[in-house]
Amino acid sequence: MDWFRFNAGDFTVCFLSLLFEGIPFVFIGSLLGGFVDTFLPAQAIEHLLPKNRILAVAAGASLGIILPMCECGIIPMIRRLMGKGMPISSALAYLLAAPIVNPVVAVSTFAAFRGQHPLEVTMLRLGLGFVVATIIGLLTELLSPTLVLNRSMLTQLKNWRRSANVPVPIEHSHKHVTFLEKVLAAFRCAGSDFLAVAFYLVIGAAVTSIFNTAVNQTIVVPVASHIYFAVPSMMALAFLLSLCSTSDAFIAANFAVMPLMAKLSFMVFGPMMDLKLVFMYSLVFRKSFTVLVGLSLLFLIGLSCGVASFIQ
Amino acid sequence: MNNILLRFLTPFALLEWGLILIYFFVSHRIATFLHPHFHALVLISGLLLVVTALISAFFPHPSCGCDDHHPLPSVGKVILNIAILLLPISWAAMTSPDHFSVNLIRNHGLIETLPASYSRPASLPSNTSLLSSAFATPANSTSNDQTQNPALIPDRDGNIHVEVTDILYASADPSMRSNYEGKKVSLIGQVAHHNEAQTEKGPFQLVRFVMVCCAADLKPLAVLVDYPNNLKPFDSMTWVKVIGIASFKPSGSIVMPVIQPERIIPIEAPPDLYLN
Repeated sequence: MDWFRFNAGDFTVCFLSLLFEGIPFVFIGSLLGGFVDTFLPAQAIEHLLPKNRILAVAAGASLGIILPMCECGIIPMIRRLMGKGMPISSALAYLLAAPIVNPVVAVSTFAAFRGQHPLEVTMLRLGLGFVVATIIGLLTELLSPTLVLNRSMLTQLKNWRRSANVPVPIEHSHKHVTFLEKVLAAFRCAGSDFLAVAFYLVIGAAVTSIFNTAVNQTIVVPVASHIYFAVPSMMALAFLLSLCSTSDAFIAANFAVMPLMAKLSFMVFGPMMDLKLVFMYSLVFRKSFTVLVGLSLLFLIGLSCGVASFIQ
Repeated sequence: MNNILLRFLTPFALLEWGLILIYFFVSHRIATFLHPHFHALVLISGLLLVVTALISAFFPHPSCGCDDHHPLPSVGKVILNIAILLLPISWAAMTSPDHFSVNLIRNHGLIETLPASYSRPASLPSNTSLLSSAFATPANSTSNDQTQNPALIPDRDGNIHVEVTDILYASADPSMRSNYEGKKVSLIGQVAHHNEAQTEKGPFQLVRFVMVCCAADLKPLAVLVDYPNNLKPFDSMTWVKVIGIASFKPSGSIVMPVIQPERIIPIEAPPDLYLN
Protein backbone atom coordinates (compact mmCIF):
# COMPACT_ATOMS: atom_id res chain seq x y z
CA MET A 1 0.00 0.00 0.00
CA ASP A 2 1.49 3.34 -1.11
CA TRP A 3 1.66 5.93 1.64
CA PHE A 4 2.22 8.91 -0.72
CA ARG A 5 0.20 9.40 -3.93
CA PHE A 6 0.29 12.95 -5.29
CA ASN A 7 -2.22 14.36 -7.76
CA ALA A 8 -1.67 17.95 -8.92
CA GLY A 9 -5.36 18.55 -9.57
CA ASP A 10 -6.36 17.39 -6.08
CA PHE A 11 -3.61 19.54 -4.61
CA THR A 12 -4.83 22.70 -6.36
CA VAL A 13 -8.46 22.08 -5.35
CA CYS A 14 -7.49 21.67 -1.70
CA PHE A 15 -5.00 24.58 -1.86
CA LEU A 16 -7.55 26.98 -3.32
CA SER A 17 -10.26 25.87 -0.89
CA LEU A 18 -7.99 26.65 2.08
CA LEU A 19 -7.15 30.05 0.62
CA PHE A 20 -10.76 30.92 -0.18
CA GLU A 21 -11.77 29.91 3.32
CA GLY A 22 -8.98 31.86 5.01
CA ILE A 23 -8.65 35.01 2.87
CA PRO A 24 -11.92 36.68 3.96
CA PHE A 25 -11.06 36.23 7.62
CA VAL A 26 -7.46 37.37 7.18
CA PHE A 27 -8.75 40.49 5.45
CA ILE A 28 -11.40 41.13 8.10
CA GLY A 29 -8.73 40.80 10.77
CA SER A 30 -6.40 43.09 8.84
CA LEU A 31 -9.10 45.68 8.32
CA LEU A 32 -10.10 45.62 11.99
CA GLY A 33 -6.44 45.93 12.89
CA GLY A 34 -6.08 48.86 10.51
CA PHE A 35 -8.99 50.68 12.12
CA VAL A 36 -7.66 49.87 15.59
CA ASP A 37 -4.33 51.33 14.59
CA THR A 38 -5.78 54.47 13.04
CA PHE A 39 -8.60 55.32 15.38
CA LEU A 40 -7.55 54.00 18.75
CA PRO A 41 -5.29 56.35 20.71
CA ALA A 42 -1.80 55.18 21.51
CA GLN A 43 -1.51 52.95 24.57
CA ALA A 44 -5.30 52.79 24.75
CA ILE A 45 -5.38 49.05 25.30
CA GLU A 46 -2.95 49.32 28.17
CA HIS A 47 -5.38 51.66 29.95
CA LEU A 48 -8.38 49.44 29.22
CA LEU A 49 -6.91 46.20 30.54
CA PRO A 50 -6.82 45.44 34.30
CA LYS A 51 -3.59 46.42 35.98
CA ASN A 52 -3.28 42.99 37.62
CA ARG A 53 -1.31 40.86 35.17
CA ILE A 54 -3.27 37.66 35.81
CA LEU A 55 -6.55 39.44 35.21
CA ALA A 56 -5.10 41.15 32.13
CA VAL A 57 -4.13 37.79 30.63
CA ALA A 58 -7.52 36.31 31.50
CA ALA A 59 -9.17 39.35 29.89
CA GLY A 60 -7.10 38.73 26.77
CA ALA A 61 -8.26 35.11 26.69
CA SER A 62 -11.91 36.23 26.99
CA LEU A 63 -11.67 38.91 24.34
CA GLY A 64 -12.87 36.47 21.69
CA ILE A 65 -16.37 36.66 23.16
CA ILE A 66 -16.76 40.27 21.97
CA LEU A 67 -14.14 40.21 19.19
CA PRO A 68 -14.54 36.73 17.67
CA MET A 69 -11.97 35.86 15.05
CA CYS A 70 -10.81 32.70 13.40
CA GLU A 71 -7.18 31.67 13.73
CA CYS A 72 -6.23 33.16 10.34
CA GLY A 73 -7.63 36.61 10.95
CA ILE A 74 -6.33 37.08 14.44
CA ILE A 75 -2.66 37.47 13.60
CA PRO A 76 -2.91 40.86 11.88
CA MET A 77 -5.21 41.96 14.72
CA ILE A 78 -2.80 41.18 17.54
CA ARG A 79 0.08 42.94 15.79
CA ARG A 80 -1.87 46.18 15.86
CA LEU A 81 -3.26 45.55 19.35
CA MET A 82 0.29 45.13 20.66
CA GLY A 83 1.17 48.38 18.92
CA LYS A 84 -1.55 50.03 20.98
CA GLY A 85 -0.15 48.83 24.28
CA MET A 86 -1.57 45.33 24.65
CA PRO A 87 0.96 43.28 26.65
CA ILE A 88 2.46 40.35 24.79
CA SER A 89 1.05 37.91 27.34
CA SER A 90 -2.52 39.17 26.86
CA ALA A 91 -2.08 39.23 23.08
CA LEU A 92 -0.88 35.64 23.09
CA ALA A 93 -3.79 34.57 25.30
CA TYR A 94 -6.18 36.27 22.86
CA LEU A 95 -4.43 34.64 19.90
CA LEU A 96 -4.77 31.15 21.36
CA ALA A 97 -8.23 31.48 22.88
CA ALA A 98 -10.17 33.57 20.39
CA PRO A 99 -10.58 30.83 17.76
CA ILE A 100 -12.24 28.67 20.44
CA VAL A 101 -13.75 30.97 23.07
CA ASN A 102 -16.27 32.73 20.87
CA PRO A 103 -20.00 32.50 20.23
CA VAL A 104 -19.71 31.14 16.68
CA VAL A 105 -17.60 28.17 17.73
CA ALA A 106 -19.83 27.55 20.74
CA VAL A 107 -22.86 27.24 18.46
CA SER A 108 -21.10 25.08 15.88
CA THR A 109 -19.73 22.74 18.58
CA PHE A 110 -23.17 22.40 20.15
CA ALA A 111 -24.70 21.66 16.75
CA ALA A 112 -22.03 19.14 15.81
CA PHE A 113 -22.40 17.13 19.01
CA ARG A 114 -26.19 16.94 19.11
CA GLY A 115 -27.05 13.62 20.63
CA GLN A 116 -23.57 13.34 22.19
CA HIS A 117 -23.90 15.52 25.32
CA PRO A 118 -23.56 18.77 23.35
CA LEU A 119 -23.72 21.16 26.29
CA GLU A 120 -21.02 19.34 28.23
CA VAL A 121 -18.77 19.08 25.19
CA THR A 122 -19.21 22.76 24.33
CA MET A 123 -18.46 23.88 27.87
CA LEU A 124 -15.46 21.55 28.12
CA ARG A 125 -14.08 22.85 24.85
CA LEU A 126 -14.47 26.53 25.70
CA GLY A 127 -13.33 26.01 29.28
CA LEU A 128 -10.22 24.04 28.39
CA GLY A 129 -9.37 26.51 25.63
CA PHE A 130 -9.67 29.44 28.04
CA VAL A 131 -7.59 27.78 30.78
CA VAL A 132 -4.80 26.63 28.45
CA ALA A 133 -4.57 30.02 26.73
CA THR A 134 -4.43 31.82 30.09
CA ILE A 135 -1.72 29.51 31.44
CA ILE A 136 0.44 29.96 28.34
CA GLY A 137 -0.14 33.71 28.44
CA LEU A 138 0.97 33.83 32.09
CA LEU A 139 4.06 31.73 31.38
CA THR A 140 5.00 34.24 28.67
CA GLU A 141 5.22 36.89 31.38
CA LEU A 142 8.37 35.12 32.56
CA LEU A 143 10.09 35.64 29.20
CA SER A 144 11.73 38.73 27.82
CA PRO A 145 10.10 40.15 24.65
CA THR A 146 13.35 39.48 22.78
CA LEU A 147 12.84 35.77 23.38
CA VAL A 148 9.22 35.87 22.25
CA LEU A 149 8.91 38.26 19.31
CA ASN A 150 10.92 38.08 16.13
CA ARG A 151 13.26 40.89 15.20
CA SER A 152 10.90 42.49 12.71
CA MET A 153 8.03 42.59 15.19
CA LEU A 154 10.27 43.99 17.95
CA THR A 155 11.46 46.76 15.65
CA GLN A 156 7.90 47.60 14.62
CA LEU A 157 6.77 47.69 18.24
CA LYS A 158 9.61 50.02 19.18
CA ASN A 159 8.77 52.31 16.25
CA TRP A 160 5.05 52.35 17.02
CA ARG A 161 5.65 53.10 20.68
CA ARG A 162 8.32 55.69 19.92
CA SER A 163 5.96 57.54 17.57
CA ALA A 164 3.33 57.46 20.31
CA ASN A 165 5.73 59.23 22.69
CA VAL A 166 7.27 61.76 20.30
CA PRO A 167 5.62 65.21 20.54
CA VAL A 168 3.97 66.46 17.38
CA PRO A 169 6.37 68.80 15.51
CA ILE A 170 5.28 72.43 15.45
CA GLU A 171 4.77 72.44 11.68
CA HIS A 172 2.21 69.65 12.09
CA SER A 173 0.59 70.87 15.27
CA HIS A 174 -2.23 72.58 13.47
CA LYS A 175 -2.62 69.77 10.89
CA HIS A 176 -6.05 68.26 11.22
CA VAL A 177 -6.35 64.71 9.98
CA THR A 178 -9.79 64.29 8.49
CA PHE A 179 -11.97 61.25 9.02
CA LEU A 180 -11.51 60.29 5.35
CA GLU A 181 -7.73 60.41 5.66
CA LYS A 182 -7.92 58.14 8.70
CA VAL A 183 -10.12 55.69 6.80
CA LEU A 184 -7.66 55.68 3.88
CA ALA A 185 -4.81 55.10 6.32
CA ALA A 186 -6.73 52.20 7.88
CA PHE A 187 -7.15 50.58 4.47
CA ARG A 188 -3.45 51.06 3.67
CA CYS A 189 -2.53 49.39 6.97
CA ALA A 190 -4.99 46.60 6.22
CA GLY A 191 -3.49 46.06 2.78
CA SER A 192 0.09 45.72 3.99
CA ASP A 193 -0.95 43.55 6.96
CA PHE A 194 -3.04 41.33 4.71
CA LEU A 195 -0.13 40.65 2.37
CA ALA A 196 2.23 40.04 5.26
CA VAL A 197 -0.09 37.34 6.64
CA ALA A 198 -1.09 36.00 3.21
CA PHE A 199 2.57 35.24 2.50
CA TYR A 200 2.57 32.68 5.30
CA LEU A 201 -0.99 31.53 4.62
CA VAL A 202 0.05 30.50 1.10
CA ILE A 203 2.98 28.47 2.42
CA GLY A 204 0.90 26.87 5.17
CA ALA A 205 -1.98 26.06 2.82
CA ALA A 206 0.40 24.44 0.35
CA VAL A 207 1.99 22.19 2.95
CA THR A 208 -1.41 21.28 4.42
CA SER A 209 -2.76 20.47 0.98
CA ILE A 210 0.07 18.05 0.33
CA PHE A 211 -0.80 16.13 3.49
CA ASN A 212 -4.52 16.33 2.88
CA THR A 213 -4.45 15.00 -0.67
CA ALA A 214 -1.30 12.99 -1.10
CA VAL A 215 -0.75 11.11 2.16
CA ASN A 216 -2.61 7.83 2.59
CA GLN A 217 -4.62 8.59 5.72
CA THR A 218 -6.09 5.09 5.86
CA ILE A 219 -2.68 3.98 7.15
CA VAL A 220 -2.37 6.78 9.69
CA VAL A 221 -5.84 6.94 11.23
CA PRO A 222 -6.27 3.33 12.45
CA VAL A 223 -3.19 3.71 14.65
CA ALA A 224 -5.08 6.32 16.59
CA SER A 225 -7.88 4.05 17.75
CA HIS A 226 -5.82 2.47 20.56
CA ILE A 227 -6.64 4.13 23.88
CA TYR A 228 -3.01 5.00 24.65
CA PHE A 229 -2.60 6.67 21.28
CA ALA A 230 -6.01 8.28 20.97
CA VAL A 231 -5.26 11.68 22.51
CA PRO A 232 -1.79 12.28 21.00
CA SER A 233 -2.81 10.96 17.61
CA MET A 234 -5.95 13.13 17.49
CA MET A 235 -3.81 16.14 18.32
CA ALA A 236 -1.38 15.15 15.57
CA LEU A 237 -4.28 14.77 13.15
CA ALA A 238 -5.63 18.20 14.14
CA PHE A 239 -2.18 19.66 13.50
CA LEU A 240 -1.91 18.10 10.06
CA LEU A 241 -5.48 18.67 8.84
CA SER A 242 -5.42 22.41 9.74
CA LEU A 243 -9.20 22.71 9.87
CA CYS A 244 -10.89 25.93 10.86
CA SER A 245 -12.41 26.02 14.32
CA THR A 246 -15.99 26.37 13.07
CA SER A 247 -15.85 23.09 11.15
CA ASP A 248 -13.50 20.88 13.15
CA ALA A 249 -16.25 19.99 15.64
CA PHE A 250 -18.22 18.25 12.88
CA ILE A 251 -15.16 16.27 11.87
CA ALA A 252 -14.39 15.36 15.48
CA ALA A 253 -17.98 14.35 16.21
CA ASN A 254 -17.88 11.81 13.40
CA PHE A 255 -14.85 9.96 14.78
CA ALA A 256 -17.20 7.40 16.31
CA VAL A 257 -14.45 5.08 17.57
CA MET A 258 -12.62 7.82 19.46
CA PRO A 259 -13.24 8.55 23.16
CA LEU A 260 -14.66 11.95 24.00
CA MET A 261 -11.45 13.28 25.52
CA ALA A 262 -9.54 12.48 22.34
CA LYS A 263 -12.11 14.43 20.32
CA LEU A 264 -11.79 17.29 22.81
CA SER A 265 -8.02 17.37 22.39
CA PHE A 266 -8.57 17.54 18.61
CA MET A 267 -10.91 20.52 18.99
CA VAL A 268 -8.71 22.46 21.42
CA PHE A 269 -5.25 21.80 20.02
CA GLY A 270 -6.07 22.29 16.33
CA PRO A 271 -7.27 25.94 16.45
CA MET A 272 -4.24 26.86 18.57
CA MET A 273 -1.50 25.12 16.64
CA ASP A 274 -1.63 23.54 13.21
CA LEU A 275 0.52 23.23 10.12
CA LYS A 276 -0.83 26.41 8.60
CA LEU A 277 -0.49 28.44 11.80
CA VAL A 278 3.13 27.41 12.36
CA PHE A 279 4.03 29.43 9.28
CA MET A 280 1.69 32.31 10.10
CA TYR A 281 2.99 32.65 13.65
CA SER A 282 6.48 33.33 12.28
CA LEU A 283 5.19 36.75 11.22
CA VAL A 284 5.11 37.70 14.90
CA PHE A 285 7.04 35.19 17.00
CA ARG A 286 10.48 33.70 16.99
CA LYS A 287 10.61 30.14 15.64
CA SER A 288 11.97 28.85 18.95
CA PHE A 289 9.06 30.44 20.81
CA THR A 290 6.54 28.90 18.41
CA VAL A 291 8.08 25.49 19.06
CA LEU A 292 7.94 26.16 22.81
CA VAL A 293 4.26 27.11 22.63
CA GLY A 294 3.53 23.99 20.56
CA LEU A 295 5.22 21.73 23.08
CA SER A 296 3.45 23.48 25.96
CA LEU A 297 0.09 22.99 24.26
CA LEU A 298 0.86 19.33 23.64
CA PHE A 299 1.73 18.90 27.29
CA LEU A 300 -1.16 20.84 28.82
CA ILE A 301 -3.90 19.57 26.51
CA GLY A 302 -2.47 16.08 26.25
CA LEU A 303 -2.12 15.74 30.01
CA SER A 304 -5.56 17.05 30.88
CA CYS A 305 -7.37 15.08 28.17
CA GLY A 306 -5.25 11.98 28.67
CA VAL A 307 -5.81 11.83 32.41
CA ALA A 308 -9.51 12.55 31.99
CA SER A 309 -9.89 9.77 29.41
CA PHE A 310 -8.47 7.22 31.83
CA ILE A 311 -10.68 8.43 34.64
CA GLN A 312 -13.82 8.30 32.44
CA MET B 1 14.82 49.82 -7.13
CA ASN B 2 13.26 47.83 -4.32
CA ASN B 3 11.38 50.98 -3.28
CA ILE B 4 9.77 51.05 -6.73
CA LEU B 5 9.05 47.30 -6.58
CA LEU B 6 7.44 47.67 -3.16
CA ARG B 7 5.46 50.72 -4.25
CA PHE B 8 3.77 48.72 -6.99
CA LEU B 9 3.85 45.23 -5.50
CA THR B 10 1.30 45.97 -2.79
CA PRO B 11 -1.51 47.30 -4.99
CA PHE B 12 -0.76 44.77 -7.72
CA ALA B 13 -0.89 41.80 -5.35
CA LEU B 14 -4.04 43.05 -3.66
CA LEU B 15 -5.67 43.61 -7.04
CA GLU B 16 -4.73 40.12 -8.23
CA TRP B 17 -6.12 38.42 -5.13
CA GLY B 18 -9.28 40.51 -5.26
CA LEU B 19 -9.94 39.78 -8.92
CA ILE B 20 -9.35 36.05 -8.45
CA LEU B 21 -11.91 35.95 -5.65
CA ILE B 22 -14.43 37.93 -7.68
CA TYR B 23 -13.87 35.70 -10.72
CA PHE B 24 -14.47 32.48 -8.79
CA PHE B 25 -17.67 33.90 -7.31
CA VAL B 26 -19.06 35.28 -10.57
CA SER B 27 -18.22 32.11 -12.53
CA HIS B 28 -19.83 29.96 -9.77
CA ARG B 29 -16.62 27.89 -9.61
CA ILE B 30 -16.50 28.78 -5.94
CA ALA B 31 -19.08 26.02 -5.31
CA THR B 32 -16.34 23.43 -5.84
CA PHE B 33 -14.21 24.88 -3.10
CA LEU B 34 -16.36 26.37 -0.39
CA HIS B 35 -19.61 25.81 1.52
CA PRO B 36 -22.42 28.08 0.22
CA HIS B 37 -22.55 29.93 3.54
CA PHE B 38 -19.16 31.46 2.78
CA HIS B 39 -19.67 32.43 -0.86
CA ALA B 40 -20.87 35.95 -0.10
CA LEU B 41 -17.81 36.51 2.10
CA VAL B 42 -15.59 35.66 -0.84
CA LEU B 43 -17.29 38.27 -3.03
CA ILE B 44 -17.24 40.93 -0.32
CA SER B 45 -13.58 40.37 0.49
CA GLY B 46 -12.73 40.33 -3.21
CA LEU B 47 -14.38 43.71 -3.70
CA LEU B 48 -12.73 45.14 -0.60
CA LEU B 49 -9.33 43.88 -1.74
CA VAL B 50 -9.80 45.70 -5.04
CA VAL B 51 -10.79 48.87 -3.17
CA THR B 52 -7.72 48.51 -0.94
CA ALA B 53 -5.53 48.05 -4.00
CA LEU B 54 -6.85 51.25 -5.53
CA ILE B 55 -6.34 53.14 -2.28
CA SER B 56 -2.77 51.84 -2.01
CA ALA B 57 -2.06 52.81 -5.58
CA PHE B 58 -3.66 56.27 -5.69
CA PHE B 59 -3.40 57.35 -2.06
CA PRO B 60 0.07 56.23 -0.93
CA HIS B 61 0.90 56.96 2.66
CA PRO B 62 2.03 60.52 3.42
CA SER B 63 5.26 61.17 5.32
CA CYS B 64 3.47 61.37 8.64
CA GLY B 65 0.90 58.59 8.27
CA CYS B 66 0.24 55.71 10.65
CA ASP B 67 2.20 53.22 8.61
CA ASP B 68 5.25 51.26 9.63
CA HIS B 69 8.63 52.94 9.57
CA HIS B 70 11.23 50.32 9.06
CA PRO B 71 14.12 49.71 6.69
CA LEU B 72 13.11 48.59 3.20
CA PRO B 73 13.49 44.85 2.63
CA SER B 74 16.18 43.58 0.28
CA VAL B 75 15.53 43.01 -3.42
CA GLY B 76 15.76 39.28 -2.80
CA LYS B 77 13.05 39.39 -0.19
CA VAL B 78 10.83 41.49 -2.43
CA ILE B 79 11.24 38.98 -5.25
CA LEU B 80 10.47 36.14 -2.82
CA ASN B 81 7.35 38.00 -1.77
CA ILE B 82 6.31 38.39 -5.40
CA ALA B 83 6.92 34.69 -6.04
CA ILE B 84 4.95 33.46 -3.02
CA LEU B 85 2.10 35.96 -3.19
CA LEU B 86 1.46 36.02 -6.91
CA LEU B 87 2.57 32.80 -8.55
CA PRO B 88 0.97 29.92 -6.58
CA ILE B 89 -2.55 31.32 -6.48
CA SER B 90 -2.39 32.31 -10.16
CA TRP B 91 -1.14 28.87 -11.15
CA ALA B 92 -3.78 27.12 -9.04
CA ALA B 93 -6.59 29.35 -10.35
CA MET B 94 -5.62 28.64 -13.95
CA THR B 95 -5.02 24.90 -13.67
CA SER B 96 -7.37 23.67 -10.96
CA PRO B 97 -10.04 21.18 -11.99
CA ASP B 98 -13.56 21.50 -10.61
CA HIS B 99 -13.56 18.19 -8.76
CA PHE B 100 -11.31 15.83 -6.87
CA SER B 101 -9.98 12.69 -8.51
CA VAL B 102 -10.38 9.10 -7.33
CA ASN B 103 -6.93 9.49 -5.75
CA LEU B 104 -8.53 11.45 -2.91
CA ILE B 105 -10.85 8.57 -2.13
CA ARG B 106 -7.94 6.13 -2.14
CA ASN B 107 -6.02 8.33 0.30
CA HIS B 108 -8.91 9.24 2.58
CA GLY B 109 -10.81 5.97 2.57
CA LEU B 110 -14.57 5.75 2.44
CA ILE B 111 -17.17 6.02 5.18
CA GLU B 112 -19.36 3.04 4.34
CA THR B 113 -21.07 2.33 7.60
CA LEU B 114 -21.97 3.98 10.82
CA PRO B 115 -21.67 1.96 14.05
CA ALA B 116 -24.87 0.88 15.82
CA SER B 117 -23.96 3.15 18.75
CA TYR B 118 -23.83 6.25 16.54
CA SER B 119 -26.48 8.54 17.94
CA ARG B 120 -28.52 10.88 15.85
CA PRO B 121 -31.37 13.03 17.01
CA ALA B 122 -34.47 10.85 16.56
CA SER B 123 -36.71 13.85 16.08
CA LEU B 124 -35.05 14.98 12.86
CA PRO B 125 -36.81 14.20 9.58
CA SER B 126 -35.23 11.64 7.30
CA ASN B 127 -33.93 12.54 3.86
CA THR B 128 -31.77 15.13 5.55
CA SER B 129 -28.08 15.41 4.81
CA LEU B 130 -25.63 14.15 7.38
CA LEU B 131 -24.26 17.39 8.68
CA SER B 132 -26.92 19.92 7.82
CA SER B 133 -29.17 17.84 10.05
CA ALA B 134 -27.19 19.29 12.94
CA PHE B 135 -28.71 22.65 12.11
CA ALA B 136 -32.19 21.42 11.19
CA THR B 137 -35.13 22.46 13.31
CA PRO B 138 -36.33 19.27 15.00
CA ALA B 139 -39.66 18.09 13.64
CA ASN B 140 -42.46 17.72 16.16
CA SER B 141 -43.26 14.23 14.99
CA THR B 142 -40.90 11.30 15.48
CA SER B 143 -43.01 9.05 13.32
CA ASN B 144 -41.60 7.65 10.10
CA ASP B 145 -45.07 7.21 8.62
CA GLN B 146 -44.98 8.01 4.91
CA THR B 147 -48.13 10.06 5.17
CA GLN B 148 -46.33 12.47 7.50
CA ASN B 149 -42.95 12.61 5.71
CA PRO B 150 -43.37 13.58 2.04
CA ALA B 151 -39.74 12.62 1.35
CA LEU B 152 -40.66 8.95 1.81
CA ILE B 153 -43.52 8.96 -0.68
CA PRO B 154 -42.49 7.09 -3.87
CA ASP B 155 -42.58 8.95 -7.16
CA ARG B 156 -44.86 7.82 -10.02
CA ASP B 157 -42.27 5.15 -10.96
CA GLY B 158 -42.47 3.75 -7.44
CA ASN B 159 -38.98 4.95 -6.41
CA ILE B 160 -38.18 6.69 -3.14
CA HIS B 161 -35.62 9.45 -3.76
CA VAL B 162 -32.85 9.26 -1.21
CA GLU B 163 -29.31 10.43 -0.65
CA VAL B 164 -26.34 8.24 0.29
CA THR B 165 -26.52 9.82 3.74
CA ASP B 166 -30.10 8.67 4.28
CA ILE B 167 -29.13 5.06 3.62
CA LEU B 168 -26.14 5.34 5.95
CA TYR B 169 -28.25 6.86 8.71
CA ALA B 170 -30.78 4.06 8.26
CA SER B 171 -27.98 1.50 8.63
CA ALA B 172 -27.23 2.92 12.08
CA ASP B 173 -30.82 3.52 13.17
CA PRO B 174 -33.13 0.46 13.23
CA SER B 175 -36.23 2.66 13.42
CA MET B 176 -35.34 4.19 10.06
CA ARG B 177 -34.53 0.99 8.21
CA SER B 178 -38.15 0.07 7.63
CA ASN B 179 -38.43 3.26 5.53
CA TYR B 180 -36.10 1.75 2.93
CA GLU B 181 -35.51 -1.97 3.50
CA GLY B 182 -36.81 -4.03 0.62
CA LYS B 183 -38.08 -0.91 -1.13
CA LYS B 184 -37.08 0.56 -4.43
CA VAL B 185 -34.89 3.63 -3.96
CA SER B 186 -33.30 6.08 -6.36
CA LEU B 187 -30.03 7.84 -5.53
CA ILE B 188 -27.19 9.57 -7.32
CA GLY B 189 -23.46 9.60 -6.74
CA GLN B 190 -20.04 8.93 -8.22
CA VAL B 191 -18.63 5.51 -8.96
CA ALA B 192 -15.66 4.38 -6.88
CA HIS B 193 -14.36 0.85 -7.22
CA HIS B 194 -14.32 -1.57 -4.36
CA ASN B 195 -10.90 -3.02 -4.00
CA GLU B 196 -7.42 -1.70 -3.67
CA ALA B 197 -6.48 -3.07 -7.05
CA GLN B 198 -9.27 -0.95 -8.47
CA THR B 199 -10.37 -3.56 -10.99
CA GLU B 200 -13.42 -2.15 -12.55
CA LYS B 201 -15.80 -5.13 -12.83
CA GLY B 202 -18.34 -6.06 -10.24
CA PRO B 203 -19.65 -4.20 -7.18
CA PHE B 204 -18.71 -0.55 -6.64
CA GLN B 205 -19.25 2.14 -4.03
CA LEU B 206 -21.61 4.96 -4.84
CA VAL B 207 -19.96 8.02 -3.31
CA ARG B 208 -21.19 11.45 -2.26
CA PHE B 209 -18.86 13.94 -0.65
CA VAL B 210 -20.03 15.83 2.40
CA MET B 211 -18.60 19.31 2.90
CA VAL B 212 -18.69 21.16 6.21
CA CYS B 213 -16.64 24.27 5.46
CA CYS B 214 -14.46 23.87 2.43
CA ALA B 215 -13.17 21.22 0.01
CA ALA B 216 -10.25 20.50 2.34
CA ASP B 217 -12.58 18.85 4.87
CA LEU B 218 -14.58 16.76 2.38
CA LYS B 219 -15.60 13.33 3.64
CA PRO B 220 -16.50 10.64 1.09
CA LEU B 221 -19.59 8.68 2.14
CA ALA B 222 -20.44 5.55 0.21
CA VAL B 223 -23.04 2.86 -0.24
CA LEU B 224 -22.19 -0.47 -1.83
CA VAL B 225 -23.95 -1.17 -5.13
CA ASP B 226 -23.99 -4.89 -5.89
CA TYR B 227 -23.24 -4.51 -9.60
CA PRO B 228 -22.95 -7.81 -11.48
CA ASN B 229 -19.47 -8.97 -12.59
CA ASN B 230 -20.56 -9.77 -16.11
CA LEU B 231 -21.69 -6.27 -17.05
CA LYS B 232 -19.60 -3.48 -18.55
CA PRO B 233 -18.07 -1.43 -15.75
CA PHE B 234 -18.32 2.31 -15.23
CA ASP B 235 -15.24 4.53 -15.11
CA SER B 236 -14.19 5.83 -11.71
CA MET B 237 -15.83 9.09 -10.61
CA THR B 238 -18.59 8.80 -13.25
CA TRP B 239 -21.85 10.34 -12.06
CA VAL B 240 -24.66 7.81 -12.12
CA LYS B 241 -28.24 7.42 -10.96
CA VAL B 242 -28.88 4.07 -9.31
CA ILE B 243 -32.38 2.64 -8.99
CA GLY B 244 -32.57 -0.52 -6.95
CA ILE B 245 -33.69 -2.34 -3.82
CA ALA B 246 -32.13 -1.28 -0.53
CA SER B 247 -31.09 -3.92 1.98
CA PHE B 248 -29.20 -3.89 5.26
CA LYS B 249 -26.93 -6.80 6.11
CA PRO B 250 -25.53 -7.32 9.63
CA SER B 251 -21.80 -7.81 9.76
CA GLY B 252 -20.66 -8.23 13.34
CA SER B 253 -21.58 -5.10 15.30
CA ILE B 254 -22.29 -3.03 12.21
CA VAL B 255 -24.94 -3.09 9.54
CA MET B 256 -23.88 -2.77 5.92
CA PRO B 257 -26.27 -1.07 3.51
CA VAL B 258 -26.35 -2.57 0.01
CA ILE B 259 -28.26 -1.56 -3.10
CA GLN B 260 -29.31 -4.34 -5.49
CA PRO B 261 -29.44 -2.34 -8.72
CA GLU B 262 -32.21 -2.64 -11.29
CA ARG B 263 -31.11 0.31 -13.42
CA ILE B 264 -27.96 2.45 -13.49
CA ILE B 265 -28.02 5.55 -15.67
CA PRO B 266 -25.00 7.81 -16.32
CA ILE B 267 -25.92 11.44 -15.60
CA GLU B 268 -24.37 14.90 -15.74
CA ALA B 269 -22.83 16.22 -12.55
CA PRO B 270 -25.58 17.85 -10.47
CA PRO B 271 -25.46 21.56 -9.59
CA ASP B 272 -24.84 20.63 -5.95
CA LEU B 273 -21.64 18.65 -6.20
CA TYR B 274 -21.48 18.09 -2.46
CA LEU B 275 -23.91 17.42 0.35
CA ASN B 276 -23.67 20.10 3.01
